[in-house]
Amino acid sequence: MNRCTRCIYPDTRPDSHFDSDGVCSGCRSFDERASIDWAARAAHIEALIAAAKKRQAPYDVVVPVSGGKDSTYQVLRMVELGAKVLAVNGATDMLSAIGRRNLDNLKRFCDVIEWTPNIEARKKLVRIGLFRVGDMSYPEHLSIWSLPTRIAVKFGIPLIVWGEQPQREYATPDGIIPATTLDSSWVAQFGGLCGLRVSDLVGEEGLSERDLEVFRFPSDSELDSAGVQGIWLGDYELWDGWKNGFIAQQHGFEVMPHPVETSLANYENVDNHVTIPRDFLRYLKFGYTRGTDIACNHVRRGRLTRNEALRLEQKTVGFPWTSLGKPIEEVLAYFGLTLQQYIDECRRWMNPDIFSGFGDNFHPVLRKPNGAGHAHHPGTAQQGRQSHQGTAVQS
Amino acid sequence: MALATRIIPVLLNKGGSLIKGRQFNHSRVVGSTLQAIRIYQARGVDELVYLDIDAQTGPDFDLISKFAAECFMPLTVGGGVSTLEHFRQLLAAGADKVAINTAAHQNQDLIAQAAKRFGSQAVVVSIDVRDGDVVTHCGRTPTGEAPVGFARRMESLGAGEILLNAVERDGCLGGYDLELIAQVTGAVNIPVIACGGAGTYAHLKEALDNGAHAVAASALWHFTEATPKGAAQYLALNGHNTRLAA
Repeated sequence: MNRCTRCIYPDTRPDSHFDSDGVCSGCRSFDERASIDWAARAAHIEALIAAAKKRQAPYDVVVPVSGGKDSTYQVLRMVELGAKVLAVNGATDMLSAIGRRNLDNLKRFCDVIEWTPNIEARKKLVRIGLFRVGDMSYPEHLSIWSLPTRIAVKFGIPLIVWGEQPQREYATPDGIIPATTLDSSWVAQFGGLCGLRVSDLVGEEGLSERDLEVFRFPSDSELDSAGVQGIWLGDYELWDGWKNGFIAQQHGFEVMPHPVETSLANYENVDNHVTIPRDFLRYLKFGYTRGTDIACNHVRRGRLTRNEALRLEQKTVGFPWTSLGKPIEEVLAYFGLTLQQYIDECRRWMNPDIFSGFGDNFHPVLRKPNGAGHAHHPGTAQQGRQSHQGTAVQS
Repeated sequence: MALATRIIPVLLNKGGSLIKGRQFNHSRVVGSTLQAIRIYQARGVDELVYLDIDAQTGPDFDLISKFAAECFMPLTVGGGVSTLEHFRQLLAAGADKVAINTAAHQNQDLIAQAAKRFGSQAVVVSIDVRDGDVVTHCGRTPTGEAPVGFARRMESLGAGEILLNAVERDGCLGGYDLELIAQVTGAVNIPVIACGGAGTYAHLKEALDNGAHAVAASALWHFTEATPKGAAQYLALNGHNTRLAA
């Protein structure tokens, strides 16, 4: 596992690409922000909203919301730009008390639809997600895309305004330009679905095609005929999640009294108790945590040094005994899972190239120390890339 | 009833990560290899090809036996195979077939010996083709040999199957190299698995119509909503006998 020479991203992070200087695509995207004409982008989104208004649909804009800091900011920003906003929340699997309050807070600014797919069906999907792809948030990864888009199609609402463009903010593969519209092919490729498709799930644990229909992202032709387009607000202004959190707090958004487990922030991922055990599994697979993402965002914006980021990341890599303060056993039990089942899966999902095993208290042990104090040699990423070119069988 | 046409996902492993590139370059981590194995196990696919592209010092037998224990469909394993002992250990670790590429050029006795000891059905020669030339070392080293002649020679040495990959098409989702498929399938009697370029179900049909005995793909499953079952249903509707369509 090599790390970006500027931030601390490992090259094991999905979709990341390191250039010949050992700099990751997230840092390069950040560099590109300096050459973008942001005034023109601002004019562009105003024009999109003006065009949406002309359609005279019940709403101009759908904002998909979790109730988090970004979605609160997106709602505020769209209202500020004069759009009639419908916020659509695809219910989370295990909403926290603070998440409930933050979601209700949004109802002061716009109309909100909370759409809750059958809880028992979702619990099944959480279990399938854990055992099949090591991702307990699998039903949410489907519903965050599908539900708001389905509402937009249903009501003919022309514009869906998503928040950060993850390809720009975090990682995009070599030679692939980040998308500017969110459609079914983007979701299939970058939607975090781990290669598992809704169509795979029919018949699993008694789930029928109709049970699963709400999780299906509308086809391109459904979007086209309803005249619906999905865009990312992060393409139109200088995106900064930390700033969004600051602004959201001035409008009633509540933060946690302490940083969220597996992360470095107290202002995001505060709404869902599933997120923390899910993030730990992702760390075991790919060697980075939500704390790594947050640290890298701060490094790029000059708010943390690389060494500070490396040291802080270490605070986020332990076994998640609690999730937003709730004992993990309680969280697992809600989904019909035991701690032993979860630990067994953790063992299976651990990437043997990155980790040598678990230490005391199920603390994952890295094969290579995390490098706090020194950047890896800039040549390393390039050499690494050359060594894994292509599909051929090597001898 | 004729033997069913096989639809074969190809997994490229590096460390424990699943990767995919374009034209044997630009590789990206698309997930964890175990995820893909569990998904294809649940999908009940006909067969799986697993290639370790970072196996310079030979196959990682521990990792492969861990993966093989998770999948019950026929499994072809390649990457870093250069000795008869590698064959033996991979088959013992749970592989049903072993794929060789660079070693097929460097040590042709290996194919004959492996076929004699383990049977031709266990010997898959992976042929990568770029600009009409067979290439080795992950597509980097041209051999100057044409694919048809090479494929015939591998067949005569005892290879049981050919995995035919068009380097320029790899990962591009634009369709297989149909001319290459027609040439090679016309020249040998052993099964040829077409690989490199599938981006739609129609592409799979084109490869079969041009003589391929089985169709392999990876980007198609990683990056689009296509699934092996969907492919099987499409092919069955279009005149090809597939097992998963039933």
